[in-house]
Amino acid sequence: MGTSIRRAASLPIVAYQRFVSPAIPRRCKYEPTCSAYAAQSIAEYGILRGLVLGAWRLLRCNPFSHGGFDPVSDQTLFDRHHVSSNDSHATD
Amino acid sequence: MPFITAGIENIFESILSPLIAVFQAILIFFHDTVGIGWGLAIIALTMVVRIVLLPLTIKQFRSMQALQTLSPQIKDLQAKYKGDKQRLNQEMMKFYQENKVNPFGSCLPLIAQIPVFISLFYMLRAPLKVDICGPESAILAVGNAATPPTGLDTTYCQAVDPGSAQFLFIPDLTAPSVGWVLILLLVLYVASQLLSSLLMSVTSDRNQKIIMIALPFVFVFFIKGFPAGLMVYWITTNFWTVGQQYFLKRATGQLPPWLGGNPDGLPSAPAAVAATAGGGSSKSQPSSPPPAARKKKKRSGKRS
Repeated sequence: MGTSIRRAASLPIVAYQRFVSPAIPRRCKYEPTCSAYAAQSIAEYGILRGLVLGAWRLLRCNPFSHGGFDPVSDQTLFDRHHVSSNDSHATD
Repeated sequence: MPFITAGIENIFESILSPLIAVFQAILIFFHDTVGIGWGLAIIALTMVVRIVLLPLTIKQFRSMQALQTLSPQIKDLQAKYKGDKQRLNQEMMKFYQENKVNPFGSCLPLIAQIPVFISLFYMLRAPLKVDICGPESAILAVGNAATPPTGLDTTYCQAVDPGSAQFLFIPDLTAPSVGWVLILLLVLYVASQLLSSLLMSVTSDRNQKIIMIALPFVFVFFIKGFPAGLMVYWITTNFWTVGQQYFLKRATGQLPPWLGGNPDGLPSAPAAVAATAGGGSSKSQPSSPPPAARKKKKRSGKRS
């Protein structure tokens, strides 16, 4: 339910990845990047929780953090059982 | 439905109102206390913003320099995960994390520029217009018996107080420019934007380069209706980026050959000095930046 709405919500992110991001040097010290992280969060946790997760990631992506490997599955803000999407990502 | 967009604009304007007030105070300080014109005050404000951000930029560059000492291990990683680009990315990122270095910029400074820009837009359109052009502009905007009301953003300073908002070749900083003034501003914008992204770029991907070059031209359609003062801000900040990048790259010996850099990618003498002064143990190691690892490689491993 709501997958198409979620997809629509991450449309601006996809547009950014497609048309803006390539024009500027890499600006993200995390893997997956903030935009990929936000899109995946919205797909897995819904629009509101996804946006919160994405915003929290953006705040962490600052010059004083060390960056690194930080998949959505490592998040600690929300319970895992909120995941309603059927495409379970590999938890590495 | 203009009232919906107007509603959204009002929301933005009220969220950003503290920032708008701060910028307005800084501009008025430069104009009234320092005693420079409004155009120079906008340039001074731009520099204040960039100077505030400067420690972040320098921190970033330090991190990149520290990375040079780790390049043997990075080469090992690249060899180990040659066939799997995504796995390589993950392992590289874990490696950076463990060693507390990171060659990449961060997202937050990029995002932080957006509210600055929007605040300047609102400020130039209304509150500062009254400061610059005098209170008559507000009366003109509200309208009276003789003249029908016009929006504050479409009121030209020329009509109220000719010359008050003039700067160099720009007749009115608070209004969108027209004619050859607009063309000159757009040329300056595109040129400075291209220069700054060329200097920042590390990509060798053809598509990325095309988008990089096309983007400023697409932006032209959005910014041609902006108040001229906003374009002064944007052009200034681009030139600041160019200068900053030039000095930082020269200090680390990473200038591209077309700017007189060393084509071998070896740090030049001042860079070696800077590296030993800052990092300690780093000798003259090849300074080829790690983003080389981000070049397209065969993607064989399937991971989602």
